Amino acid sequence: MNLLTYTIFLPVAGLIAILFTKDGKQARLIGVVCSVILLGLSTAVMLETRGLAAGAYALGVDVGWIKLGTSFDVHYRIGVDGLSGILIFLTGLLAFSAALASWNIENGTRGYWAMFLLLHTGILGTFASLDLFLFYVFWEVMLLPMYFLIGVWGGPRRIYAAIKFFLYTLFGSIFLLAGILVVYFAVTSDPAFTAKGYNAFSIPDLTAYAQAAKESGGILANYGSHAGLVATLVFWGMFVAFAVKVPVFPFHTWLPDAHVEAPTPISVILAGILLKLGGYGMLRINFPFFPEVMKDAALWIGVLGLINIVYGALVAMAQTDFKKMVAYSSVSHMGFCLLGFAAMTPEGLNGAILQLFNHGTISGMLFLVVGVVYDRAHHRDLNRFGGLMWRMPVYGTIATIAMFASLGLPMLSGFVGEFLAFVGSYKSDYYSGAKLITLISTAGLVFTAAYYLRAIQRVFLGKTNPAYESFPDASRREVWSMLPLLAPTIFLGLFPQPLIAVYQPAVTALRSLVG
Amino acid sequence: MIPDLGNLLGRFGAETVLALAVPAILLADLRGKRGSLATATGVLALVLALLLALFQESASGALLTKLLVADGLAKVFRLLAIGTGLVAALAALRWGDAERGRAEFFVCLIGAVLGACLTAAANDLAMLYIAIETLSIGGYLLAGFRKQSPLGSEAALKYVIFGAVSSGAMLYGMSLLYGFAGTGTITTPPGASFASLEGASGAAAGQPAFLVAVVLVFAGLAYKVAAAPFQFWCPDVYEGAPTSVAAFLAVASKGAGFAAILRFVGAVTAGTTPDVLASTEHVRTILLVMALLTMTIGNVAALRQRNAKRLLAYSAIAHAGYLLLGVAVTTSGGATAVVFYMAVYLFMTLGAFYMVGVVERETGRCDLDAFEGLGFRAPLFGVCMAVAMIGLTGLPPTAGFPGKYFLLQEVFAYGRDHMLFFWGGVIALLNTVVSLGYYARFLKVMYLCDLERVAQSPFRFTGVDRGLVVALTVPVLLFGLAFAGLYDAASDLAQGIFLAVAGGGR
Repeated sequence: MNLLTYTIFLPVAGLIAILFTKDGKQARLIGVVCSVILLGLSTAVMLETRGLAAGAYALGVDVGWIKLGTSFDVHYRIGVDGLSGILIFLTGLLAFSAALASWNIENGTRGYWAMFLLLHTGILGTFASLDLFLFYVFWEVMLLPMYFLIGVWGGPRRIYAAIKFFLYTLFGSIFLLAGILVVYFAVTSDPAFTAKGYNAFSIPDLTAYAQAAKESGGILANYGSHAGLVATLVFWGMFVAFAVKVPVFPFHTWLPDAHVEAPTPISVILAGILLKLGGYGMLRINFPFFPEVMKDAALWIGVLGLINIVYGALVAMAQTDFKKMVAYSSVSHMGFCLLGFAAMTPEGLNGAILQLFNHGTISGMLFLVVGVVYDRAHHRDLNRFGGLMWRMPVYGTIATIAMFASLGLPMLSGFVGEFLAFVGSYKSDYYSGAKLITLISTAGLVFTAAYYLRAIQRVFLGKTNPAYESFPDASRREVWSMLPLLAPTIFLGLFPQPLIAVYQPAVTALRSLVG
Repeated sequence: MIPDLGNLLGRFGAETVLALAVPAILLADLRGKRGSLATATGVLALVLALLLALFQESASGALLTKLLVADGLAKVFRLLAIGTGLVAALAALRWGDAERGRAEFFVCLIGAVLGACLTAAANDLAMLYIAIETLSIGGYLLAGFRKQSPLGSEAALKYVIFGAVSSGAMLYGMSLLYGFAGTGTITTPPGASFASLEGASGAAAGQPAFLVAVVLVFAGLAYKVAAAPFQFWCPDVYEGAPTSVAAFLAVASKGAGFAAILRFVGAVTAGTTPDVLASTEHVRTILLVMALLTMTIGNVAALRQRNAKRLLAYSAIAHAGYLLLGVAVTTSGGATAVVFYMAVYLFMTLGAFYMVGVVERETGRCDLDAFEGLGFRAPLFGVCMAVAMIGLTGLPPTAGFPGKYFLLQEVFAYGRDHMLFFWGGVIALLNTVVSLGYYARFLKVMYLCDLERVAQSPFRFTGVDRGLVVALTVPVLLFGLAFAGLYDAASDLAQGIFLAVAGGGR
């Protein structure tokens, strides 16, 4: 047993405790206490990953789980490097915020907290897994709690949104499963693979094997006579699995529905963490397994990033629903990550990963901002607010900071990630056309500024709508739920280096594998 | 014959008990009020048979002048049939499905169970035919057991007519095969030296008529497992039959069919001559196309169902498709995956049918709306039903996931050199997504509803119901996380079915 295992399964312990509670208040207490402990544990996990060598993992556990015959050997194999370390830390931050924001859930409280905790085990387990089979199990374990959290506690169109989320994600993940199966047969039929003592499900082993086989046909070289075609298919199949989560155009249509219908804390987790799992999967599995396919695919991934940025921003600009606007801004901002991934330059990858983290905190905060005003006004129509800044100064200030951070104002964290991603993408010679794609996608920045400034103006400035004169300012609980996200937003805007230093070795490793 | 008899009783104790139980029940019916003695005899016979089946040793070699074998495959599918029969009997008693004549119900049910056991053990074409007919005739009578209901009569009639046609086709195919092989024996068990289809197919495989004969026999077996294009009877029969009978047909009848399919396909694809390899390739392609067709028809049609029993019927069709994938690759791994999947399918499907039956008993309806809010009105019921549905979809952490995983593993392994199978695997995976569309509807009606409105109406979910449902749900979760033991057992039992195959065997 180690720190990482405790972190993953603490929520399950909380869930079991909830089964023995009688009323919702006790369940809520257990849920919040678990989230607070989780924040502490996840911080400790991230700190453990400092100073790791490139390609090394901290807090590793490797225990046999299911062994059948000679080659089917699934392990409980977990470990963290800087990349998963910062994302686990992000999970802890958002769990804390979301738990405080869930205080008001009145109906079916025990069920809500049970699902809330189970969801976190799925997320943490996915980030920590170094075994493909285990990764897939955790990946799927996330689906069901999320389905219920949206479907039971969501808004008016929750049932439609929940099943759409479930179907889209499952559609993606079957390609991941197909990829795992194909990789398994390709590597186990190569005697060199077993001779080295490699395990056909181990992510580090498969990465090393893919690296060695880069010149000789790649990881799937032994998958029959159509190996080249299959490698391309499996690469894009896995890409679809992760792209649905990111979400990448044209697989993004579940996102506005799910984000808008989900209750506020669940929107926070959806935007803050679940989208990151897509990016994480690409960096951990998709690209390192198929470096030779990635070389050809980079252009298309860059183009998809461009579409995400510009299209997402344009659609966000057309929204009158506050929450929908924030949801589409996520589509746009995750595009920067794709742009950085495709570039494969140090700046591009650093920026993209930083953007993963920053988007987690900033969009989480924005959904909390929407939640606060929705709790009071019971609508989210941007055109019906006005002058809230004068009635709710604390709330207005935090909301404005969050929006400025999201549109990329210097001195706030959003700027650093986006800037690095753009610079890295512009400098890239990994694929041709990078410069053009980068230049076009800067247009997205202008659109982003446009819709955020307009939103600030319509909601917070101008004449106060008389109906909302009596709105109380953000309560202490609401402020506390936003603070853990606000602090890194400001801090990383000024000093991004401490966080970058944590995941820097992971970037080095990735570049040596794929670049 | 006399020395063989002792051996026979030792290997087929369960079947003997079941065979003796049929006249015993009829005699017991003359005594006791409202068939209570007959009921007791029937239940006792099933329990005794289950115990015997659990401890019965499997043995190599053929018995009863080569008509039967007592290998691992016979053992596991015998267990499956008797276990399902017992659950169906208990369910029928709890729901009053058998009220119109308990003795008759038990005679039909035990006859069908006996037929299922013998189908799995049959090693001769004629024996196989008789066993399947025993299973079918019991099934026809049970399907129409609700005599007063027009749906019940329609179910029985459809079942009989479709059954007769496909039996005829099968019999014709068998006669052709007998002509080719000069023997009706299906396999030559290890250690035995008599002739069988395994050896004969080498000489006959080059002729087109051989393939025609195989396909004809296969038509009869496909009808038994409700594989396309012989699946039309399935939804109507499941809807019209008492729910306990539907559960029996969905598990025991399908299981017996798959045991026979495995044995038969194993025999006609045995051999390494070029002719056999060529005809095996055809058989694989036919089976793959059939599997994909079956699962796609089942899943797409299930999307439109509002009736829980019809929905589960289409789901059972889809699962026949997944199972056929394991047969189509004709490897021991494939046979293992089929046995493994059948074992987990038993728990998930019986659990689901049992819960549908409980809802039918309590509300008198079995449309999906009858499940409204059950996740909150009866939390244990909701959780168990959710586990069954997630398992049938094939998602972790339930046993449905390793089940599907191993089936697909074999398909993708074979797809390494055959792109057709690679794409077949992808289509099968896409089918999983389609199936979520209807399995999730149970989750939707049970959980995603107006919380305040449903909390008031309680739902009677008694102690016996709870015990049975939990006993069927726990293995689904257990085998989802620790399936090594079950897989190894399945692998042992399925050894030797496709051993003689070259090219596909690994």
